[in-house]
Parts: sequence; C-alpha cells; structure tokens
Amino acid sequence: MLYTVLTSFAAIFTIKNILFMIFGVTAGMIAGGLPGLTATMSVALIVPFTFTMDPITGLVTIGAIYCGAVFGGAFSAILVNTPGTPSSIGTTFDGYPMTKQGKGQEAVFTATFASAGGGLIGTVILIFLSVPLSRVALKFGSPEYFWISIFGLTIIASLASKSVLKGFAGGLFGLLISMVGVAPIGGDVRFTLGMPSFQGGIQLISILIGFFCIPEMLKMAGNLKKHKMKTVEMQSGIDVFKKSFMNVFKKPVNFIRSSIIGAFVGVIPGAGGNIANLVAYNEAHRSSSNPESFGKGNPEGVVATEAANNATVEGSVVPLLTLGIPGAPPDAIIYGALMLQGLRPGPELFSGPNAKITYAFMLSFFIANLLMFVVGILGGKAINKIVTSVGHKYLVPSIIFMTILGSYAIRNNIMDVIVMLVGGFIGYLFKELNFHPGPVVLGLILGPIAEKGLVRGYLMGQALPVPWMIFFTRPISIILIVLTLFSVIWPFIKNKRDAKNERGAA
Amino acid sequence: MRKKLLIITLILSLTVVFFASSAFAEYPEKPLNYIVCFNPGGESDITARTQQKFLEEVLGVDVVISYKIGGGGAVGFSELVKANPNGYTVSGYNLTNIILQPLARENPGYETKQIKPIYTFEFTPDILAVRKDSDIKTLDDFVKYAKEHPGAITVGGSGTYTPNHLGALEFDKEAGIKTTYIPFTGSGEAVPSFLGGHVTALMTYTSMGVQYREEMRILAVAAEERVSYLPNVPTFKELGYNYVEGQYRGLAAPPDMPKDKVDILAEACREVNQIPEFQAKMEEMGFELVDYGPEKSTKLIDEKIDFYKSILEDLGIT
Amino acid sequence: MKRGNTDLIGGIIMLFSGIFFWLQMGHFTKFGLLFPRAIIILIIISGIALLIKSKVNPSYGENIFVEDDMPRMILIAIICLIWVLFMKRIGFIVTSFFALGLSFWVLKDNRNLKTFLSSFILAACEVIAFYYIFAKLLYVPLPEGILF
Repeated sequence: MLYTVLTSFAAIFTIKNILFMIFGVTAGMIAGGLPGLTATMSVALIVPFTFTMDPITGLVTIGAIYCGAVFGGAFSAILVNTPGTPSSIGTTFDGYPMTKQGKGQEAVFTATFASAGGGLIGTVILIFLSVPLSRVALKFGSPEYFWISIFGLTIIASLASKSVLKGFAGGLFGLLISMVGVAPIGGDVRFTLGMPSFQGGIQLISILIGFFCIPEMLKMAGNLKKHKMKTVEMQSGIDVFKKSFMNVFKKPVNFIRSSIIGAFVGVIPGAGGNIANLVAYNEAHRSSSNPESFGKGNPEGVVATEAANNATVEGSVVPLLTLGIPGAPPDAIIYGALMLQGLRPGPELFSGPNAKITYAFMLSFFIANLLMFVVGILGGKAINKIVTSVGHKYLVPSIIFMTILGSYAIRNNIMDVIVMLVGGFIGYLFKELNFHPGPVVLGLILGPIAEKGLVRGYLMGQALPVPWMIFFTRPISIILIVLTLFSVIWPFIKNKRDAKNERGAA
Repeated sequence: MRKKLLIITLILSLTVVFFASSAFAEYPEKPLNYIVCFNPGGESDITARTQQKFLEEVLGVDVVISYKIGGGGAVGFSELVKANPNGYTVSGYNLTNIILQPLARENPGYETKQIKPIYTFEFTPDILAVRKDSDIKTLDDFVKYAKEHPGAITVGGSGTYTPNHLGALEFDKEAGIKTTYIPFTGSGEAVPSFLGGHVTALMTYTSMGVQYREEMRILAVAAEERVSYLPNVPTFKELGYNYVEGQYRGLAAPPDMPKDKVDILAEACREVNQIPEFQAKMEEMGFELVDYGPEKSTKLIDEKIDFYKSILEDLGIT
Repeated sequence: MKRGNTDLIGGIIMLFSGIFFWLQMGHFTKFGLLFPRAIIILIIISGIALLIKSKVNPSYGENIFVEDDMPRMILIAIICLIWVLFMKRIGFIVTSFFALGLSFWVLKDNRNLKTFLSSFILAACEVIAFYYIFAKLLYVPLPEGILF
C-alpha cells in the first residue's frame, strides 16, 4: 500500500496536473463566489470536459473545482451577505457583519486559512479513515435521518439570536415551503397551485438568494446616502494576514473540531456541507467564552463554518469511493464520471489495478487545498477591494443581475427566478420583523430529509407491533435523541450556571 | 429576346437550387440540446452520457446535455412538450414514468401522447435482491417468509410509479404475498439503506445488481430470458412467476417535430447501438440494448398504457 | 412604521401561511399527508403563540419598513419584478438591457441625459459580457422571447 501511495503522489506532480488543478481551484472559486452557481453545478459543468482527459488528470481537476467552489461561496457570503453556495450559509452570520465593520479583508483571509486548513484535515480523514467511516455511515437508516434533521432544527435556537419562538416559526416556515412538489413517498403532487414547474419543489438557491441577498440589496438601494461613510479598510495588508492566521490557529480547538464535524457530517450520505457548516457554527457558539458576540462579527464563526464546509468535501468522497454512494450532490456527478471512466466504486478501487488512480485522487486534495489557499489570498485581496470600493449604486443592480442569471441557471426555469424575487420580498419582510433567514433556509434544506426519514421509518417499522417504536429503539437514534435533548436543554443549564457563578462572585 | 429568357431561366434555376439546397441543408448543423430529466449520477444520466459521445460522432455535431430535474421527470417532460420543435431539442424519456404520471397525477404538465418517441435504445430489467448475509437464499424462501409474515418484508426501490414500484406490486400480486414497498429518491438513496440493513430486500435495476454484486444476493431478474451480465441469476418466469418489468429508456421529441428529422435522429441512435464500444460499455454497466424505432416505440407505449391502466385499476388508483 | 409589534405581524404571517397551505391540501395519500399535516398544525400553533406573545410580552421593531429613500427602493423592486416577469416573453438580452440600465439610472445621484446614457452603456456592456459567459461558455440556454 505504501508503494501505491508513493507512486500515486508522484503521479499527481506533472505540470499538466498542477496546471489543471490551479485552473480548477480558480474556476471553482469564481463559480462558488457567484450567487446562483453552486458547487454541484460547477462540477457538472466541468465533468464532460474530463472525459477526454486521462483519468488522473480528469479526477484531480474535478476535485480541485469541488474544493474551490465550496470555498468560493465564502466570498459572496462575506462581502454581500449572499451564500455563494449553500455550504456558506453560516459564513454570512459573522462574515458580513465583519465587512460592515470594515474588516472584510480580515474575514476573507480568515475564511481562506480556515477553508484550506479544514480541507487538509478532511483529506487526512479521507485517506486514513475511509473504510471504517463508511461502515458507520451505512448504519444511518431512515429513523436516524429523521433525528438528524430534528437535531439540525434545534440548532435554530442558537441561530435565532433574539427570539427562540421566531426561530422555530421561521424553521417551520422553511419546512412548509419544502413540502411544495411531489411527495417523496406517495407520489402526490402537493401545493403546486396547479403549475407543473412546481412539481420539482421550491429551489434552495432561489430562497437562499431571496432571503439573504435581495433584502440587503433593497436596503442598500434605499440607503445610498448613508453608505458613503463606511468604505474605509481599517487594517494594512500584512497585519490582516497575520491576524487572520491567528484567528484560525490561536484557537485550534474551534478549528479542529469544526473540521472534524465537517468531515464526519460529509460522510453521511445526503447530509453534506449545507448542514455541516451550521452544526459547526452551533458548536462554536456553544463552547465560546462570549457567545453573545456571535452574529456580530466574531471571526470564530467564520472559522467554524469555513473549516467545516471544506472538510465536508473530502468527507463526502468517502462513501463515494468506498461504496459508490454520493455523500453530497456534487459526488453524484463525480460518480457518473467515475462510471464513464470505467472506475467502479468499491473495494476494488483501492486494491485493484485502479488503486493508483484512487489514491492519486485522494492525495490530490492536499495539493488542491494548498493551491486554493494561494489563489484565495491573492484573489481575496483583489476581490475585497473591488467589491468594497464599487459604489452601491453600481453594485446593487449588477448583483441582482447575477442572481437572476444564477437562479435561472439552476434548471433553466424562469419560475426559479420569479420565486427568487418573490422570496426576496418575503425575505425583506422577515428581516424587518427580526426573523433570522437562517432557520427558514435550514427548514427548507431539512424538510425533505425529515419527511423521508419520518415516513420511511414508519414504513420500516411495519414489522414491529407498534411501528412508531422504530424511532426509539435503535442505538444511533438513541444517541441522536440524547444529543438533541442536550442541545435544547443546554442554554437553560448554562444560564443557571452563569447566574450561580455571578452570585458566587458577588 | 432569347438571351433575356436564358438569363432569367438561369437566375431562376440558380435561385431554386439555392433554396433547395438550404432546405436540404444537412440536419443537424447546430449543437443538439439533450435534456436529462433526472438527477446526475442516476441511471438516466449515465445512459445519456454514455450515448452522448457516440451520438456526437455519428451526427457530427455537439450534443449538449442539460438537466431539468424534478417531479420524477415530470418537470422535464412538461418542458419537452412545450419546446421548440425545430429538431434541436430532444430529451431522454423513461417509458414507465411518462405513462404513469398522467394516469396517476392530476396535472403533471403533459399528456403521454404528446411525447414523441424517437428511439428506445435500452431496457433495464428489475431484479429482486437481498443481502449476502441474509437468511433468505432463494426466491422461494422469500415468498415463503412473506406469506408467513405479511407486510413484514420491506422492499426498497427507486421512486413511486416507476418500474421498481410497480414491479414490487406486480410481483406481490403474482406470488400472492404482501410486502411493504419503501420508495427512495433514486437508486442512489435506496442502496445505502439496503446495505446498512434498514430494508430487507431491494427491487432495483440490473445496473445496481452489477455494481453491487459482491454485496447482493440477486434472487431473480424480471426479464424474458436470463441476462448475459448476470448469467447465474434465474428469471422470475423460470421460477414460475409471470413477472417481467423494467425501465425502457430512449430519446423523445416535442410533439410537432418534423418526421424527417425524427428519422435522422432515430437512424443515428440505431447506428450508435451497433457500435461495439458502446455495446460493451452499456453491458458492462448492466444496461441491455434494445432497438425500437419511432413507430415500434409508439406501439410499445400504447401496449404498456393498457397494461398499466389495468394494474392501476386493480389497485384502485385512477 | 415607526414602532411595529413584530410579534403581532409575524404571528399573523405564520397563521396566514399555515391556513393558506391547509386550504390547498387536496386528496393526499396516507403517506403524502403525514408530514404536511404535522407541519401545518405546528406552524399554526407557532402563529398563535406569537400572537399571544405580542399581547403579553411584545417585541417592538424600531423603524421597520422605513428606509432613507423608500421611493427609490420600491422603484428598484418594481423594476426587478417587471424584469423577471417579462424576461421569458420578451427575451433575456432586451429585458435585461432595459431593466439594468433603468436600475443604474434610478440609483444615480443626479438624473439627467448624461447619466442616462452612461447607465445604459454600462448596462449594455454587462449584459453582453454575461450573455457570452453564460450562453456561450457555460451552455446555459437563456430565455429567447419574441425579441432576443
């Protein structure tokens, strides 16, 4: 095996491969940074071109684009409050406030360090823990997926910042709109108002842009004069670089924990980066010494989300290579690419004649993350400068234009654009009423997972005397239930403990 | 006078030739837009992408794959029937889905008859599988267990109103048993649940059987005869159950696409099906090639419409 | 408004959403019904809870729905709405050109002929650039209406 690893590593280091990786990382970052183009789409766009390349070159390019795209989402999240990809939703929570405080450069650099670092940790996990992790991933059945989504929804409590009730209501609203479309079990066409395009459901990207970006754009349009004051970048180049480095590595616990969360969540098929960044954010918030600063521009938040989402990239490759099961949507496309190259996922991919290709693919993530770091630092400075110096009067229509293109590009359906804009108006409404957009989007993401878990779990329970018991009698489910309860009760325990400490100190 | 007449005739004939040649300008000359109505990485996507390369060679133009996903293909199909019939937009179609959706849903956005088949080029039979470590060793064991514990066996499959789903229902009826079908969104969701032990059996496609043959014990295949890529698997018919089901996949056109263009594309598909490299690739992945041109496909669809209608009536849905 | 009871308005919205979806529940199968029914009930409950809170312990938002320049913001919103609604019918390039140019002009400090022209020239450049990237490079078929 060591021999294979060494020869694979050598195989990556051709001029051609490195150039393609640089291209991949850069193209991925641009695509990820554009609101509307997701990592899935970027991978889908590049895959056809890789058919003519030799397998290793093709795969390392795909890997590079995947890493770059997930990272690229941070740029638009930080600079214009629009998650460029759903895995950067959490980055808006602290990234955008930092930009508003003039610390955009620091936020971008911090995100770069965190993403590259998270990706490296993820790659280590991919290479050494693939097989055991994939076995654990298989143990997650429908009841477990249901409890994962419930656990995910309890995270709302921390995201809602001010009002837990509003947070839950927002989450329920997200769950409500997630039901539009064809029922996963039963096949009923639900809530489509008779329009065939709605059979595919309300698109996540449309709501993401609608709830995060459009309200900001509208507010910018309505407050042009006020803006003139805050464009000054407060720190100098090298200082920012050093500070960003400290942000990530001075609090290593946050960074390492978030990366591990990201990698592990990525391994569970279907969970993916969309959820991982929020779980990591939640954990960072919970263990922080000053949780109130989260949501107001605390770099720890950015570190948590960006480390997690890049670690997910490598994590989601684990079930793909070991079992042929995509850990996240981009992996489904990579699966197609593997099949067409004649590489069948499974144990033979690791030991047979194709082992060299497999290891080369996995090892290439090291290089890709390092290249991503370099391109990120170089590009980040430029992008930050451009976005913060271009006046809002040019920025607003241009960004709206890009979001229209992006929402249309999802599946070439004008309804997605209309939904995006209408969602934007509703998002503005919600924002003014202090409903945080995070829970809504989380509800939309978790809705299908929760419903499939619930109904399929019920069907699976048919063999038992009381079908519903299946949700409470399986080991992993029980662990998840305990985690959920803990997550819900923790704020109350913490308050009591803090109050007690205060009394003790006084 | 004569000279004038000559010149006029010359000009007229040149004009005629010019228009005639542009009318008969080689179709296709622009890239072909190939819509895939299902998720990337799924069977429909893989068969389309495998075919894409060879179609490009045969047709001499680029074939650009775009996705219109949702509603089990309904979003894509409803867009297809509204697309420009100039011959540059076609879509993959799945026979069972395009028949059942208009029957079972109030408004999928299209009628089965609107979808004009160009060529049906592949067929993937259903298979019934259990895990290698399962107590169920043969199909008879399966049926026996099901009879003793009605509803206890969970059978996973891809989708609702798809060949997996109907296959499970048809087999239940044939064998006189009751199993619980659990629909997943695509084979990619069904297989992990199966491997992890969360469902007992899988009614899936031969392509999955080929890929996971190490982990699966395939009890039977729902084809007329044994398939070459799974030679040791008996057919349901051999074992006494008249159950044949699977997904036919092909290329389809908007309703008003001109017949000559349909024929050109059909001929291209037929040629692709003859290419040994294509045949080998498809067989390796567990897809069986078939050849149904436009008229034969329409006949096939009509037959299946009657067949599925009667099944739905049996189940009390319509 | 200067001081709005966000709980009250929020509660009404949640309640309204729940009822709106409830009214659309057609003949669902047993399994298609399970989840929607649960969520709709929960959201109606949360709506009612918000309404109760709005009386008992209300949260107020200061200056909600008030921006410095409301007319301009609303104008941009309307332009965008018309933009997306007509994009398919009239065609991507033409609609975007007009909508983008108009938006730039609306947001200018001074609106005169000179800024009008510069807005539309910038719009033309952006539309052409993005058209090439998306339609030609990325093969995304952008809507072509009666114009293009």
